[in-house]
Amino acid sequence: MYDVIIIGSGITGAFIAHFLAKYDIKVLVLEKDVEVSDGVTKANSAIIHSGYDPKPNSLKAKLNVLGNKMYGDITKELNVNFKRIGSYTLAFDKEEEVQLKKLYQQGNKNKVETYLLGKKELRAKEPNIKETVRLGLYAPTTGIIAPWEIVYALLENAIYNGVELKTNHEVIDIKKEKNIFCVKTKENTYYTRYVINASGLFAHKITQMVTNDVDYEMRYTRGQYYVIDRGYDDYVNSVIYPTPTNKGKGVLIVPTIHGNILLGPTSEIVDNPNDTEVTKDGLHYIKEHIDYMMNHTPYKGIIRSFSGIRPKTSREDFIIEELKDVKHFIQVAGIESPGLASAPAIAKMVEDSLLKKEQLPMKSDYRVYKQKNLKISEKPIDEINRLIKQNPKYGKIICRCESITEGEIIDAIKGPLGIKTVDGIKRKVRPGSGRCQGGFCQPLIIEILARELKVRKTDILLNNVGSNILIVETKQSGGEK
Amino acid sequence: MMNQYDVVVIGGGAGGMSSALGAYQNGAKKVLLVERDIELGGILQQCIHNGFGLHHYKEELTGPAYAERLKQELMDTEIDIKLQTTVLKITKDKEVHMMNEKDGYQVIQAKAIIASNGCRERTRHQIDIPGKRLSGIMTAGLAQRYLNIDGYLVGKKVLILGSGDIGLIMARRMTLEGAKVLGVAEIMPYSNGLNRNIVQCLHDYDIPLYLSHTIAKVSGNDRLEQVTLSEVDEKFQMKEGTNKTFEVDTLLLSVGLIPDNKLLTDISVKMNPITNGAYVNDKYQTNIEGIFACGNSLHVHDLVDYVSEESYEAGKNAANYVLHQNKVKQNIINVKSSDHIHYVIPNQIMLDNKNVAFKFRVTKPMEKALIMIKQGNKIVIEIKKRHLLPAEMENVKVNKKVFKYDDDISIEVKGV
Ligand SMILES: Cc1cc2nc3c(=O)[nH]c(=O)nc-3n(C[C@H](O)[C@H](O)[C@H](O)COP(=O)(O)OP(=O)(O)OC[C@H]3O[C@@H](n4cnc5c(N)ncnc54)[C@H](O)[C@@H]3O)c2cc1C
Ligand SMILES: Cc1cc2nc3c(=O)[nH]c(=O)nc-3n(C[C@H](O)[C@H](O)[C@H](O)COP(=O)(O)OP(=O)(O)OC[C@H]3O[C@@H](n4cnc5c(N)ncnc54)[C@H](O)[C@@H]3O)c2cc1C
Repeated sequence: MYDVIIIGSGITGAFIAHFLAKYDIKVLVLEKDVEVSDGVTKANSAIIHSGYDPKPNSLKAKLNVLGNKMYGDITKELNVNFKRIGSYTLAFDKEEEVQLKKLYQQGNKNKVETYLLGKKELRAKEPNIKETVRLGLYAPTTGIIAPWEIVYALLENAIYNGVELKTNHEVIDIKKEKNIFCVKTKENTYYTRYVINASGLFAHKITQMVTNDVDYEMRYTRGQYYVIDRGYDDYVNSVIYPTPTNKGKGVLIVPTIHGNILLGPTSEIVDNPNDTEVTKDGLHYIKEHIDYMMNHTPYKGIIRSFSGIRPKTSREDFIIEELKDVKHFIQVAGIESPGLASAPAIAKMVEDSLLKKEQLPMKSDYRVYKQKNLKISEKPIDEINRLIKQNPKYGKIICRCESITEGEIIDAIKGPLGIKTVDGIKRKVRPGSGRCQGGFCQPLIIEILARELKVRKTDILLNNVGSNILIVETKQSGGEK
Repeated sequence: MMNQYDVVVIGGGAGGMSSALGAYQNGAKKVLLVERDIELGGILQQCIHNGFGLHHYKEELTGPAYAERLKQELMDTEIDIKLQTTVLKITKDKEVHMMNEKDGYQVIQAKAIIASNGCRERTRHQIDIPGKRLSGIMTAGLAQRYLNIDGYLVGKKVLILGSGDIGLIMARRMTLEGAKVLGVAEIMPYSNGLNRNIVQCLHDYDIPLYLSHTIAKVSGNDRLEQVTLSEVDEKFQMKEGTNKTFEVDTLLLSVGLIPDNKLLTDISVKMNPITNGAYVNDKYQTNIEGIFACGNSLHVHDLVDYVSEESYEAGKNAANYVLHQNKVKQNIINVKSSDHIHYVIPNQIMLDNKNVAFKFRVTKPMEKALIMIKQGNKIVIEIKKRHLLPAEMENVKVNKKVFKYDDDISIEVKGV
């Protein structure tokens, strides 16, 4: 019997688990995929927006501004990379200029620090902005983060402090009997007093399991991106936004925390929450819009394209509330952008609503689990040699594009989260995210995973069930040698 | 005390081994060869088919056998070899930073460095294949490594995109291992592989080659299930109504190789945007004195014999540089590619009485062509050719005595 079951291990579920971990209660996180952070949280712009953009007085505005503030302390506490690199929102014609001035007012209302800058100042800060620029809005608090890194850190800390996590556990039904929820997965049934639905693109499906009264529709909105290799640092220093339209924030340029650059996203309605395709038209659209704002875009450095789906709903704001007809079922739905930026504040709001219902005792032995965040190759030589003496595997480079060692990979497999897949390793320690996209290191990663997990190489998955990379050992296949 | 070497070679493939031999046999005393893998050989290790060494050893060897010959030659020298050691960075002052499990992080001072660290494969992301990101889509060289080194098949029903040599060889290899290869698709109206591979790998196994075709879409859930091909017009635009759908679990990409040069670009070695390798003179020296480049990290080769030849020369030049610090600035003139020539190496030559090998590729297949090497407007050398293919690198040796002026040299071809 659990006190709280959280459905979903994206950034929303992870922050909630983190905040509940300090209480002396039984908490379980259920995740349908093999690895955590595999939903909306794995594919987005990775910006901790400053908060001038959402409509004043909306939940989005309130939680974005508060969330942005909370990131500094939390990332320091857990030792996760986070940088406030600031952002420029640009206007290229009269209309956009008017719109930008309105945004500046809105920023003031939302209590976000912003400045209007002219062409000269803008081009001095970001020389690759086109000469056609007329006005820019500078927001110094805009930050960048690797969303899955913070999720891993939050969940590892939660697990370390007693929260349970079960991946590959899809919730297929929920029943409420008296005051207890029976949460069914394919394998098992779990009992709990509270359910928190943080299931991203599937939030309405989970809510439908307990009520017929779902008062919103999902509007899955896909965003496609290009990723540019590291090493183009002189292209931009900050996040660059166009003037937003009613379609959203538009196509951006985002330096990532690991030194890559993202170009995107598009914004297209799709029928299906799994429709993470990239399309010719979409990729073309990105280039067109980037070229409107910027000179010297290093398209030559493109190493990857991907897409993510926004869980937009007809209510257009975050939906964070206990169901009226099902007490103790808290729905956290419609967490589209600025969902990453708001996540700590969203979780705080959920925590507060639980605290309103009952007194939760604190754990006496709560201790923070800090990320090791080794990055061997970035350390001073003496320290590297000290680490290699302790564990020679820190001396063996597996991923040459990103200089990741075997020791770091084994740490990820043996850590509290227990990474099991090739994509999981890639998100946790980055091998395969460089220029060669795993061309050199994937065979080595499979070998290490199989050895450490004591399974066959053919059992190793790229990401989800059914995504095996090696099919048969050739000794057994039909052909001749 | 820092470790000191005359010449440090990065990469132990055919290129690295040959250049270490070149340096050693021409007088460099302390030579170090650094290789990240557990053994020497590089890409040769996974090329278990025949077709290596016809020029260099005058017999047809497999890749590993060719590598074995070079290893034997190395054994007879005092060249130091470090295996399972990765070079992390080099500096303009020719420090080599490297790391392994046993010695940890080490910094070595070299007098000359030869970068011969090979190439990587172009991935689906660099050619914008539409559709989801699925298991079952991978580069052909990676599939080759899984099959020939690790002993695993990556799929049972296969389509191959790109008619480069690796793709063609994998079509045959997967077939022999019991997989069904449904076809090879190529966006160009001609194949990008060597002719002998088209015949021996496709025709002999009745595998269709779809020229002027590309991928309209890939689909599936977690694993690839379907690939749709579409025919393209002269401008590479997909033609309506030409879609063909294949039920396959695997898509192999053989869409090009890219020289791997992070070590060099990090210290701002001047690069050629066409080859993605360094600009070099006829000593294979980059714009930074004492730093040399050769093999597939300089430009992608189709024949290993030329890798060996070029790299041996690079090694020899590095030794000469160390021994004589030959800074005598002779007349240096530029070499440029002109009509229908994709690129040429070297990019500069020094005027003396020695030979130079011009290596270049044409931009399109040509029948009955005339190659012209010009200095200024004057034609210095003319060579008639029955066929020229972009897939086959041309290698023309010239004695530099013929260049009498200090105008730039250019190479061009025309049909006759
Ligand atoms: C293109 C794009 C760009 C964006 N850019 C930004 C940005 O720059 N800044 C920003 O602040 N926000 C941004 N966002 C929004 C942000 O990414 C999301 O708000 C956030 O990631 C949502 O996290 P989540 O945890 O709510 O959902 P998810 O990450 O989707 O997590 C939900 C989890 O629930 C699991 N689940 C679903 N159903 C079940 C079930 N039945 N049983 C068990 N588990 C289940 C899923 O597998 C998933 O892991 C962007 C979004 C997109 C798509
Ligand atoms: C699939 C395929 C089929 C081919 N078929 C034929 C054929 O039939 N006949 C023929 O003649 N030629 C063929 N070739 C061409 C020829 O074999 C290659 O061009 C040649 O072997 C390349 O040698 P190389 O030394 O330049 O590169 P590689 O063999 O790639 O060697 C580079 C080496 O550098 C190492 N390295 C890289 N980075 C570092 C670092 N930072 N630190 C330490 N070490 C590093 C790598 O591990 C590797 O061993 C084929 C090539 C391929 C890819």
